[in-house]
Amino acid sequence: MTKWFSAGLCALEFRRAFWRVLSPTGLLLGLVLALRTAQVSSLPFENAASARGLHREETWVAFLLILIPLSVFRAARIPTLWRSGEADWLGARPIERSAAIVSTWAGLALALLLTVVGAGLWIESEIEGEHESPVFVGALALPDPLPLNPGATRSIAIAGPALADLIDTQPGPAIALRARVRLTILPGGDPTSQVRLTVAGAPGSTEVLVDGRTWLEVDCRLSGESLDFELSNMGAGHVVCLATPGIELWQPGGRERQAWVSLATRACLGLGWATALAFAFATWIGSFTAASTVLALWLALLISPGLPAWLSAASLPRALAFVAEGRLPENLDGRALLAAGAVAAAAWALAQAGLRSWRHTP
Amino acid sequence: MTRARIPHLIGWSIVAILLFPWRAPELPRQIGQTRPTFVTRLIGPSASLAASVYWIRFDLALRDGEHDRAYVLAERALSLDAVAPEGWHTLARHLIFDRGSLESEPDPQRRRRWIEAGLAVFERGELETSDPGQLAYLRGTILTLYVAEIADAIDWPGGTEGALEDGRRSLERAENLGYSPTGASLKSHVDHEHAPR
Repeated sequence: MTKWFSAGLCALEFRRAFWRVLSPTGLLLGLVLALRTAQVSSLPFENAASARGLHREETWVAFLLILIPLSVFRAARIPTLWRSGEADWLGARPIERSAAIVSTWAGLALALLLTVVGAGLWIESEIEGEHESPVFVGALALPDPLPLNPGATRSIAIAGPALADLIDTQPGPAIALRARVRLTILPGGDPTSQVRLTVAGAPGSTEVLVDGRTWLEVDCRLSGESLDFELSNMGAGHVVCLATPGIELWQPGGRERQAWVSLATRACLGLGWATALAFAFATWIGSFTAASTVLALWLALLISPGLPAWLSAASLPRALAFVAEGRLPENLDGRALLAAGAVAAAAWALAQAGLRSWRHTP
Repeated sequence: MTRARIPHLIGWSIVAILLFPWRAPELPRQIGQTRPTFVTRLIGPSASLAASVYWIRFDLALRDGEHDRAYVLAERALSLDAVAPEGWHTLARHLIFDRGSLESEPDPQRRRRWIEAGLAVFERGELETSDPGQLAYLRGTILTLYVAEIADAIDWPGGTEGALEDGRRSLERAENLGYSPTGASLKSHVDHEHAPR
């Protein structure tokens, strides 16, 4: 009877990938964690949050820099191994070719999942304390940079569909948020300037002395269908509110330790489609070329600005930047899973066509 | 587990055991004793290059207004290359003249704290760098020529005299360590300029 999934093939690839991927990444991770330095103690403020954020970011970057190429090359090598002799016993088994592809990829994916989860837990175990951290809700880019000349007051409103895209605006209890804008000082006036950010209808406001580039953050509550902010330049310097990122909204109440879940989810989804594509390409072209193609594609996604957040690989750098600040990226929505699933399904179809013969050599 | 895996497992276990002592804390350092840290021993001549990368990231973080992040990066750079006096000078100069400037910090108390933090960086540097005389000289120069001038504005402990006295001690330390970039004694000059009339 023909089988549609082979647990044996899955376990075989799991064992192979686990040792080949886990050993070098584990060693590297151990090294990076061993090199951790102490936080600054002589400065007149507490900067432990930055130290923790930077440690998380650096460790994850080092870990992913070795894990991603190793995984992609491992996936691209599988069809070559099959064609260089393993097809002799594989082809004689009562298993569909498509099932062999799925089972083997599943073994690789399982090994990667365990490696990423293990690394995430290891990194977190090295960082002390449980701390609160705001969670990214969304950002509304401004159409143009907003100039704030000395003495000027400018309003920014988020309302209607723009706000509904960011957060649920259905009637209900008011939602506590934090909003922040990015300011920078321009030449031509004083080198610094005092700027105030106020939320319309709320008693609180925040002031900051803009000296170069500065974030200005204020607490607000969303109880209606709009959020209105007012920026006042009370100094004699020329200030500009940057159009990108515009206004960022954050929701308090997250836990800093959840950072590893956000990063691991994005990494696993990215590795899922990347290994599936590398496997599929390698059934048509050489394994080295296939792996290099997928890595180049991933790199293009990483450095292209303005890509949608549901492209899990593209959202990884921004998620890492938030974690470095001691903040949490937003949860991935269902579209990210669908996108990764669609790529994996297309890769499966491509691999099946490429493996029409066990003996075919690209 | 197959028999072929056993040597593999033994090999990696040895690696894990060898990694373990690396986590041991550094022994407390004696004053005036320059001792390479574990990290510098591990990466050897690349430590200075790695520190340079951190200093570039420090500059970029400052340009982005990410001060907290910049200070963590500076601390990483200093832990990689504590021997070079330039790193200590870079961080201290930033704290004293950028963060402690009147434009950046109008509040006198906070301004004084930034300047004190910068001077403390010089003191830390003197314990670790290969050229403590240079850092002592820079500290003394800043205290006598800058802090003493603004002492009243920032409510410096001991006022102008306090800053001058502290600066003289630093300059004397620099002279004792054989550091004198101009060939002349700045301490004698300061003594002469501020001598009671």
